[in-house]
Amino acid sequence: MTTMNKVSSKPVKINVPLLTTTQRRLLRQLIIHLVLLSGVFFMLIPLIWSISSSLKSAGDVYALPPKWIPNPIHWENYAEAVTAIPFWRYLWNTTFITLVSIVGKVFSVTLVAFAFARLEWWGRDFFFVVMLATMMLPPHVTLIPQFILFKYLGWIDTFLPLIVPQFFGGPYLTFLARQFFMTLPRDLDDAARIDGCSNFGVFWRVILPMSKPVIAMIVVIVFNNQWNEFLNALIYLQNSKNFTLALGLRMFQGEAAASWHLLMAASILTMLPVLVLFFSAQKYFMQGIVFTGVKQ
Amino acid sequence: MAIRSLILPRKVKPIRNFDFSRWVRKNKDGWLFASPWIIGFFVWTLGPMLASLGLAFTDWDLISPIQFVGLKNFQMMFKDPLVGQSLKVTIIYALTSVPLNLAVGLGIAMLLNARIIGLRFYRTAFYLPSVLSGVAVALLWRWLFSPEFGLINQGLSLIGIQGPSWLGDQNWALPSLVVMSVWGVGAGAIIYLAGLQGIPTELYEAAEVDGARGWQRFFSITLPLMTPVLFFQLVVGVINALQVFTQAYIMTGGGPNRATLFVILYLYQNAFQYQRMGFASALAWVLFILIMVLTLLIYRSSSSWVYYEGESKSKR
Amino acid sequence: MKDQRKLSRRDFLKVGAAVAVSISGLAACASPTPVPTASKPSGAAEPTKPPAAAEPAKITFVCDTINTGHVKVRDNWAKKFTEKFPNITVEHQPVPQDYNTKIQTLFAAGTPPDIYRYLQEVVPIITVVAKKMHLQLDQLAAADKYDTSDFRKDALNLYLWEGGLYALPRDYGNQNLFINLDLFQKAGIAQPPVDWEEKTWTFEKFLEVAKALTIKKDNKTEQWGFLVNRGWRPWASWVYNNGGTVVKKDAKGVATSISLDEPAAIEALQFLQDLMHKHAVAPRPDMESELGGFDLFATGKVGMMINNPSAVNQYRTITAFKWDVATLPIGKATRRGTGGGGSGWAAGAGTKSPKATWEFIKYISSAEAEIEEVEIGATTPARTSVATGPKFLDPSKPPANAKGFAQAQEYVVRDPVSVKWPEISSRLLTPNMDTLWNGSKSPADVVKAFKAEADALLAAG
Repeated sequence: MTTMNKVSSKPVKINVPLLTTTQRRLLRQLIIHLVLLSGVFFMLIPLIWSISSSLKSAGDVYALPPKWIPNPIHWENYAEAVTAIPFWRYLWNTTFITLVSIVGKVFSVTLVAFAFARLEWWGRDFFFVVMLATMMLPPHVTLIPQFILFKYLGWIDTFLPLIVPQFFGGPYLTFLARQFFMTLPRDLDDAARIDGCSNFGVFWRVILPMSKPVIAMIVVIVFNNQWNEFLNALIYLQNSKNFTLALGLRMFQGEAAASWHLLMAASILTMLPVLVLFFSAQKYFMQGIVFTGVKQ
Repeated sequence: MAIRSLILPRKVKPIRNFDFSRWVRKNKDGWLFASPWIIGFFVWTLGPMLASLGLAFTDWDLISPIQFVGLKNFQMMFKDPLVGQSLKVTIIYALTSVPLNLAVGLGIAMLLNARIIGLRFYRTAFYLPSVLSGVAVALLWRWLFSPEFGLINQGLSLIGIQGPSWLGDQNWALPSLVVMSVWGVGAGAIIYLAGLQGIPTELYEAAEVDGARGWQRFFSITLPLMTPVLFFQLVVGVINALQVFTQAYIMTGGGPNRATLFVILYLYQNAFQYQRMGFASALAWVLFILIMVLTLLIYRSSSSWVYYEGESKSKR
Repeated sequence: MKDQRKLSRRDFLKVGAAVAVSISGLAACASPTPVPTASKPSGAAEPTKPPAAAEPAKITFVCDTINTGHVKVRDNWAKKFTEKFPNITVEHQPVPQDYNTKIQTLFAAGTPPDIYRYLQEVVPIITVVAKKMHLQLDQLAAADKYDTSDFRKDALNLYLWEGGLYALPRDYGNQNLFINLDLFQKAGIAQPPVDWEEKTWTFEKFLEVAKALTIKKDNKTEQWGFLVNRGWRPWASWVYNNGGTVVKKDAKGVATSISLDEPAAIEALQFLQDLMHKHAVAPRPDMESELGGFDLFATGKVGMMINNPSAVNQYRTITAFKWDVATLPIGKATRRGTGGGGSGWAAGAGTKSPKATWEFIKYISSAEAEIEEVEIGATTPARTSVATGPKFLDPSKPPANAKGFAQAQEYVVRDPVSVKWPEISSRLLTPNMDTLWNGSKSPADVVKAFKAEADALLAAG
């Protein structure tokens, strides 16, 4: 919350004439590091707490003042967590659902966003607002009608209700992709059209190659969402063989008695793939959009 | 029609000598590209939405046959003080958490955009909260907020402040949830960051040559070029904030004394605890209209403050 | 523009048609399939059919999970049952969370589970009967000469309505006082009694003990005598023990109006408020940490708290001190009472294989099945033989006085019976009681704030 103020104090410092350029740059970097580190502290505490809890005995989780370093360290919690539930099976189910969803989502979202951002067509603005509107109705009141719909299709207790809709775009990510496509220079489209490109050619040869950052971001977001998807998985999956990790995690946690140490161990194993993906996908969505030849 | 005139204020050409095949040819590609979503909308979304709209005019306890009751649910809403209370709570939450998250998110993104070592680590750390599963996060925060042993109050006591009892206090429960929402700011910051990365460095260099510094550069380059992302974050932020649910459902149950009774929580209680699906649906549609009006206002205003570089040549 | 308008009108018609279709669709599938056995209270329904064991069937068994052990026990039930009845397949469908939402969705979509764990505090028995949600079990039981005498009578009564039986009891819980023995020893206080007929463990004595267990240091309380459990069954237990009631009932046992405004109830609520605000022997809710206050007990910060026996699992993780259970203190009541209830095994009315379903319900209500659940904890068995048996009272595990759990079952006061009770307790009781706990209102004012609305709901229900 104080970061904004810190940002603003940065230029003031720069104005101090006593410092050389190098000194100014060093000071600036130092301040940025300090601000970021305090933020990181705020962000990391829960992770550290989770890791620490995952290595404690059931009773020590409650100890006060909290013990940050478990003693003794219960590595076996991890082994217990993956055997208490069919962890590997759930991992496979979750991976399958997530990977197929990513393919469907990236494909459909970019196409639709291109239509909304780059093409002129009758009904565009109307449908755009309709699309936003679908985000505005609370899921709790469409839950049962949707369940009935999937029941008629015979899709209950299959992955289909979780996967198939992913191939039909989705308001949030389409909106996001549209916003990024809107910022790409139009001259490129025009040039490509003059070269004889169809709309699909413009999409495929011009827009997509420049959109790696936003596509990488979509992949990360879809991965994270589907990996942790809970309510739909709960409603549509019935046989525990079909469960996902998000459902499996909840098994550690009953109304009266949660096995915190095991829950945390399983949670950490579950979130690792997302973190790894984020860490490695960064270089794609952080590379920015390269503007070559369009500088005025 | 009202919606149309709101969102289609621009060029509506009078149609003379309407040539159908040309019209189709002109629009064909747009429809084709948008078809995944349009088809999906008609197949997956529209039916359940309309069903819930229909249910708003009925009594349904989820088991007995549905009974049409006309506007009864809407009339009940006016008589039910909890509807007013839940709207109040929700709006206060949205009004505080949305601007806070917009500003903090942008601020963090700008820091993460600086050229310093350890960026990948920082970015991953800030993204971390969105990776942790929702329930674990909520339970974790209950501990952090714990008045006597919670880390927040222990931290405050180090600097001599006696912290409030956060979630246990009628006056602090809602602010606590706002504070918690800031913790998840990393997910938004990443989106800003991608936007910031798209700003050509040449622009900054040119500005530097022109003598623009710090704030000037922020206002003349960064902010205008970030408006498409800000617009996105604002719309999505408003929609999400008005539908906040999980935190209250897991952490406070709407208490203490209804201080965190969000609309969706009340709606959920009606639908699945009091078996009043009709009333819940009516409430959902009132909320829907509220969100819709707000979104349209933002959307409408966007033409005056959102700057699309891609459009700069062809349109402006 | 003209063109658009025309199209939008057509759209509108389509929309209207779609609404009609989807609503009628909803209505059609939402109405429960009428089942003869469920609608007729008596008379032979289908006695001519061959016995279940001969009939091939596939049945679904939907149940919430308290921990990973439960999933395994129930998977095992399904497996062993199929070994016994090779032509009946049981598909166990665990619901790890939001059980209520899932069950209601299944019922609403016209696909109720064949067998599920029925929680009468979520859907009252009157609703179940009125909406014909469950398969009626009494004829099946009678045809089988099924012996129900081992179940706690009150536990079985929860599922009996107007002569019909709508579930078999799984568990039957109650409220007990959990005490930190180390803190008692340090303060030199004798352990409170466990016998529910004992008469000297009174409110006054309790207050004395709570005061003795409270340690203040520099204006800050380091240790509390008691932790007020703010759930409605726990606080109602104090009302019962002072001779009060929560509701008035008619001849059938249906709740007719709130009676918390009567002196005995008001006095009990005042006592609880005073524990926090006047005597300061219990933390106010705003000083309490979360997780149901269990962590306060687990870390030795409170000497006594009220909880139900199914939480024992959690208490058994405590290694830092010794703990036990005791009976609740008694006020002006002549006999003790405790809030409580339980859950049962029930069959959805639409089940295609009532016989197979009944066989499975019998199987999972057996003493053997109950014992398997007892072994992984988190249940208070409904069968007397199990509740007083060696597995439940296992002397090798705390609490030493587990027999108190079994005895307390005889003192359970049934939840108010009303279609509207779930709504009253969540919508009216909980938020209004917050004003009692924070000390902003007197008990009389608290009750006054919701009595009229609650009475109207009870009258309408």
